[in-house]
Amino acid sequence: MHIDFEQYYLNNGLRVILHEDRKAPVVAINIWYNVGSKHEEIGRTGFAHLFEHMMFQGSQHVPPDMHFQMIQSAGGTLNGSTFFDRTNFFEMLPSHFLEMGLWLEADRMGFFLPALNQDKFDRQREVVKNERRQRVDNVPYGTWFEKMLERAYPADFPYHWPVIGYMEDLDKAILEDVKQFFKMYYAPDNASLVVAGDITIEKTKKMIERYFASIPKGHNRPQKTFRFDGFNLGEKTTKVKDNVQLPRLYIGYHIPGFGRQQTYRADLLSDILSNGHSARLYRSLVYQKQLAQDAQAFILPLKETSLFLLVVTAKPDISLDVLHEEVQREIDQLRQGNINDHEIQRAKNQIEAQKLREKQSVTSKADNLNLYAVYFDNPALINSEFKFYESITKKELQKTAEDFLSIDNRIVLTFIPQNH
Amino acid sequence: MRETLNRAQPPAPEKPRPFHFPSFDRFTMDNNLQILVAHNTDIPIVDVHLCIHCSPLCDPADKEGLAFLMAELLTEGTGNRNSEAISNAFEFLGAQYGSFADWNAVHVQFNVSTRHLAEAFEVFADLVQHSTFPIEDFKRIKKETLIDRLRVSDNPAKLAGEGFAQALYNNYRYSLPREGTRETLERISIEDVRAFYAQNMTAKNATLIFAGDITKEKVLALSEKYLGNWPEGDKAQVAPMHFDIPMRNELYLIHKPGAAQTELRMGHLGIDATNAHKHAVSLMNEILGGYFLSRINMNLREEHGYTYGAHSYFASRKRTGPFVIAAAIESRFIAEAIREVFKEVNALRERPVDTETLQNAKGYLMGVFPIVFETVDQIAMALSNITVLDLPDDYYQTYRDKIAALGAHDIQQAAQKYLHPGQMQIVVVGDRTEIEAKLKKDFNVHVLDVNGIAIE
Repeated sequence: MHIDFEQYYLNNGLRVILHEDRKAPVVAINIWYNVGSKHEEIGRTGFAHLFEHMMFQGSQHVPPDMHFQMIQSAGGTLNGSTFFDRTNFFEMLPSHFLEMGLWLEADRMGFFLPALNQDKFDRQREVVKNERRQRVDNVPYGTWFEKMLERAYPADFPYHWPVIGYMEDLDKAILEDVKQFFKMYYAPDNASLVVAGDITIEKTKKMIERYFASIPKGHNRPQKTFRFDGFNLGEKTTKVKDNVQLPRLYIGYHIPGFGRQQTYRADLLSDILSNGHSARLYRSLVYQKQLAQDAQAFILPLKETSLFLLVVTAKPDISLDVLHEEVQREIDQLRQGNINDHEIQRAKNQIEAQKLREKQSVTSKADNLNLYAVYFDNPALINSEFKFYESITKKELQKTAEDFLSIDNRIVLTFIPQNH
Repeated sequence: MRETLNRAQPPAPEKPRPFHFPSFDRFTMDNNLQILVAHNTDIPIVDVHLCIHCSPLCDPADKEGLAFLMAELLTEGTGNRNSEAISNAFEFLGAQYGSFADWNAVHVQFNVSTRHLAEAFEVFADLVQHSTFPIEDFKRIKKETLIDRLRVSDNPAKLAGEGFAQALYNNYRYSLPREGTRETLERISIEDVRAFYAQNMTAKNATLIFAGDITKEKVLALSEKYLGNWPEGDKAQVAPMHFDIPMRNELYLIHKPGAAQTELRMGHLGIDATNAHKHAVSLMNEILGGYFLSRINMNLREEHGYTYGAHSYFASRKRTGPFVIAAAIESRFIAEAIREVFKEVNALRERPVDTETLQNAKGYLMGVFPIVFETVDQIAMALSNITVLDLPDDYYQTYRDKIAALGAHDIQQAAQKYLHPGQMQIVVVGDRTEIEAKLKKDFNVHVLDVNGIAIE
């Protein structure tokens, strides 16, 4: 399943990628801005995401509430998301509304500031605070992720804080910050536009030229560089009491940034450990020994440096010490190279099948094209990324486990029921 | 000459290109197994989805959770393969697979690339016909389910959903979770599971759905080879619904000390899946709380900032499903939020909606149609709805025309007939010290602990 696409740039620096897929009369418009929570300042956490909310509040030619209304009344879906390294905005539309979708995206890229006001900003701040309550503060074990980040990265490294931000910082954000942030980061030369689906290439190019070409380049964008070298600095452990019934163990190991060979290997290791019921953690801890209620391993792939994460919930009356020993045994097996060819092949087959499934959806194709474009300047990875996995050998897996899954390279968080 | 661009004018749409819900074939095997096939060669993937027409509604009284446990155990062992062999087989092929019970059926499903279909289908057919329910796997899965029940008190959203079902459905099966409760699960034995399987997992009581890269001929060959000898059996019967419907407002406050927010569920009895006004009700609900632009969401989120999002739905079930409004609300505004919800519900009953509101919602439901049928599992799920809810075969083909025909009058009629503000059951899960006093001004408040026990 080869994905054909065409990439080019407008004079103002906007990257454009077009992919034609005419099987259904729908089109996906997907924009990535090269800005995320890692561009925030200490004490102003959560700002990139709060800003993202403001992008749905209208722009100079789009009255308040009309951004949502124009797309939804046409039968479209829309959303945006903010991550550590980027912010994206995406809509799916019946394809005959393509031009309207491009007009809307261009208006908030080029004409956002005139529509901004204090009242909208204050309300979205409350919405975001409620989002944090709903997703973090009112969820069992909900603060585990930020506790992990705070311990994994030093206070001045921008992965130290969560994308959603802290309540007290959200309260500190002011309207002037929104203006400055927009001017710094929301410009065509800091963005990438994918249009995928039921389109004709030449006509779509003309529309994009019409709406985006006159938007000026950005200026004074800070060129931030990030450098993390906190590998193997010793184990950090923390015990947390929470209002939960079952103890849970979280372990995070430092691994290199997304796109590195070792990171692909670490990803494959996490699948060998936990992709499905034939994988090691489930088979050993949940199925055979019945010490855990659930057990997962996965990577958090971030541009600058990543984490390899384990999450294991103890059954009642099973101590976390026992569970920890068992998890360590599984990690030691990988470090000693006790991995069989069959499970490596199984994990590769699962990744290959998953990549095929993703190609059913034009939204997913559009988002992946932007991911490879913005992170690696190489959208063609949508067709070739699997090769990185396919070629991984047993010896490489063992080496990656040995290099990174070590005690002095990890953070351990244990959640203990309050009433214990 | 350079074209001048007037950005104040939204570009007009072009001529729409038609979209049709995939056509499908329906046929019956000699053992009365129904088969539905939607052929689609876009991607070399096939989704196979078996619906068994029994659900938690078939659970014997006092053994609620039996259908759920049986479904969970279907992937745990046959005469030919144990649990490990089953997961090894599917996962080595890169397949996604699983079995589960929802309120309408037991589902056994897998999704695999076309070239591995035959191998995966053989394992699937083995689970369907030859599950043995080994005792040690029964004990393990039952224990896992009991532990999950223990964890419900951690989770405010789950507590709210379960509290609402309890408040609404009295002693009917829908009042308890699909997996039952600690007490009812404890009563279920391995013999119960084996008997339930023998009774219900039969060809005549099932519908097999294929969506994706497979021809009708190939479907027939596979089904004949692997399911041709599946015993016919009988269709399961579901008893009519009978319980006392709560007729006046009640508010249940589930006290969760230290809660950071208040989970709100409110609503009442909704409609049957085959209700004649189903399209009007679904358009009416879209306006009330269905999509982002809905009145409840725009009011509670965009206008007031009380919540990250609020929505409502009429659940499609074999027997009358619930009508539910759900949101996680900032605790200090819980009383105001409930008042605003009532205001929106009443407004829809009292006044016809304006043209813009009507056109937005119709435009959404009709236009979003091709977007929700992009993948083979979405198509298989739509066919599964047709079969388990007894919808007509042309349900999806005619859906947009039926929505297009509705007017403001139909919306108001549906609101008057199917929204009952006087019968709302309201459940809030939060810290009583922050919310109880405010709620007492408007409602008779019953305070419960996280285990559902009334407290002073």
